[in-house]
Amino acid sequence: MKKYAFLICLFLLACDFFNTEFEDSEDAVLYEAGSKTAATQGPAALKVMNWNVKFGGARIDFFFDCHGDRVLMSESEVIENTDNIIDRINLENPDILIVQEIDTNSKRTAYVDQVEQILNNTQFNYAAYASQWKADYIPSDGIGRVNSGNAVFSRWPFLSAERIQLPLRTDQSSLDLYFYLKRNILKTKIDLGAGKNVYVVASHTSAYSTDGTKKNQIDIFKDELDKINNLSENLIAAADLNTIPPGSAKLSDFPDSVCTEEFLADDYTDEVKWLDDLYAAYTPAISLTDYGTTELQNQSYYTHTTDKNGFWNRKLDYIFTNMTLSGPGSVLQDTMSLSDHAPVMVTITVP
Amino acid sequence: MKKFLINIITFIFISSGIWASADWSIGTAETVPENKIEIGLFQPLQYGYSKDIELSVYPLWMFLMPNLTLKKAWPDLGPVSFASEHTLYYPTPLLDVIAKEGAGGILPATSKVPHIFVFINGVYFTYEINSYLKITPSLFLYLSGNLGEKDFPTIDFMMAYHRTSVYHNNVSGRFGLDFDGNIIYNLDYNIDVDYFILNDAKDNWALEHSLMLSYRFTKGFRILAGYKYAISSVPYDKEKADSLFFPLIDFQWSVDF
Repeated sequence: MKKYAFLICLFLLACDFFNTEFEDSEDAVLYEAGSKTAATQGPAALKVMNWNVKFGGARIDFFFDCHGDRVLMSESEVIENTDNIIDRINLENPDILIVQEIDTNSKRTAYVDQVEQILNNTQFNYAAYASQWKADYIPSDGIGRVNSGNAVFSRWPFLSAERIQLPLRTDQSSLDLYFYLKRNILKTKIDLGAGKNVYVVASHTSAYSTDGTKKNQIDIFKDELDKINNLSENLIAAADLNTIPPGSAKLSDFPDSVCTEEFLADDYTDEVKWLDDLYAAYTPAISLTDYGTTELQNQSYYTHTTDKNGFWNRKLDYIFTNMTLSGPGSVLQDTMSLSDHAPVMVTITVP
Repeated sequence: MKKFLINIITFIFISSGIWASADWSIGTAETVPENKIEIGLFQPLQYGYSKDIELSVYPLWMFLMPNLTLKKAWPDLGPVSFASEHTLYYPTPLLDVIAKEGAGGILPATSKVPHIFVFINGVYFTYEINSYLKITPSLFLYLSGNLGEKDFPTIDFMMAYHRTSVYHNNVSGRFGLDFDGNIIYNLDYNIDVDYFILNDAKDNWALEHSLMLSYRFTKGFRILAGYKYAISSVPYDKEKADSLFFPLIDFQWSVDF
């Protein structure tokens, strides 16, 4: 009986019955605001914000980080939480916003299209979206339908927007892998007007992998940036890389890691040099000098904790550029109630 | 595997002598003749309790979803056969099983599933034009009642959503239209269309259609093959309906009890 059940599963997966697969390269999904806001043509500087918004889950304790048991949100919760994120975005008023973990059609977020909600309630006119987790139904933990990924919001139109598939984990069964997240690079080119263009590249690399997939994904992310940089194009890269910067003082045993049954993303000891090449090649929003080498210095730039009652305890979120910073970047750490990540901000001078 | 198939085929044909003449009453106003049983892999087990009463159950579902259907043939309305059908089922054990952490968790583990009783009442009107065409309109009302605290989400997947929506909304309806008849020799057909009206907040609806060809190998055994197509409005797409198409195959037997 088990053999037949396995064969049926194999057949359903082979024909992508649940619609979870992506091409190696495909067009990103483009959005356009219903009513547009005028944008400065050929701006001298760009205010950039990078934020993992946790699909508007705010500080609800979900089952996956082991602080609680929630799986689904009500529509009113999603809209209210996303509105709070929008309020903060509007307060900062960035020119370009890069987000991770934004949902467009998921049961857990009551099928609210959060890209559309942000686009229609901010000064942005355009958005590009690349899904990293898509399935007509996830038959596990009551998750159901999901479509969640990365997005780039812009005042200016896109010249191109591509979703590039990153390597998949190799430490999972075929069945788990079929329904699991498929990480990507969202590579966009924005027409700033007056003859100026900028590439904005977004990503969210693997949080859990025991097989080197995360390192592989980070290396490919950098390779993609190098291709653009080698063309002498303007470049902004923003990501939740799920690893810590060189010079981080705390490397393991984070107090908010409370899961006991699964592999914990809790020990970065072997990862301390993984971002060396990125820092060497590009200008980070938060320099390593500012970031420092002690916990006291580091903590001003921490961007993540799963514990709503604790404090940010590691930096996972980044902005890099090949242009010049107009000033030092910052982490908006007073956003604890809005997401399990804090946004990173920086203003970049556009040549 | 080969031996298994040979055994199955041998069983079907050697035992055909005990199979009774079948009426294949499903989807029509007819009932299974008294003391006869019809059963299929995916069809319910139907028993002719008397000349005008048929009882049926889905045996494989009995432990997870106890169910019983009574179909009563009433006096003909002129040339039209008329029957009513009444089903009671209890899906709570099944919902409890699929509310779990990890793989197989269709519902969140925190779901609170009450005792749910679903009562379906319907009528069939069958008009037989000739042996090639029998038309059966049908009309069904789904009612459900709950005992205990209810807190579990809808199952937002094609086919499952409209069939389980009554657990949340307490009332839904279905209109059906069946066409049955003989094509040639032992080859029969059935075309079925069902329209579901769901009493949910977004006035969702669903349409199911199937076409089945059946070949009677003996008087008491037939194989059916065809397809089902379903299209419905769904909670996850406010602008357009979703659809699903899949092949169907079934093996059905009829036997004197």
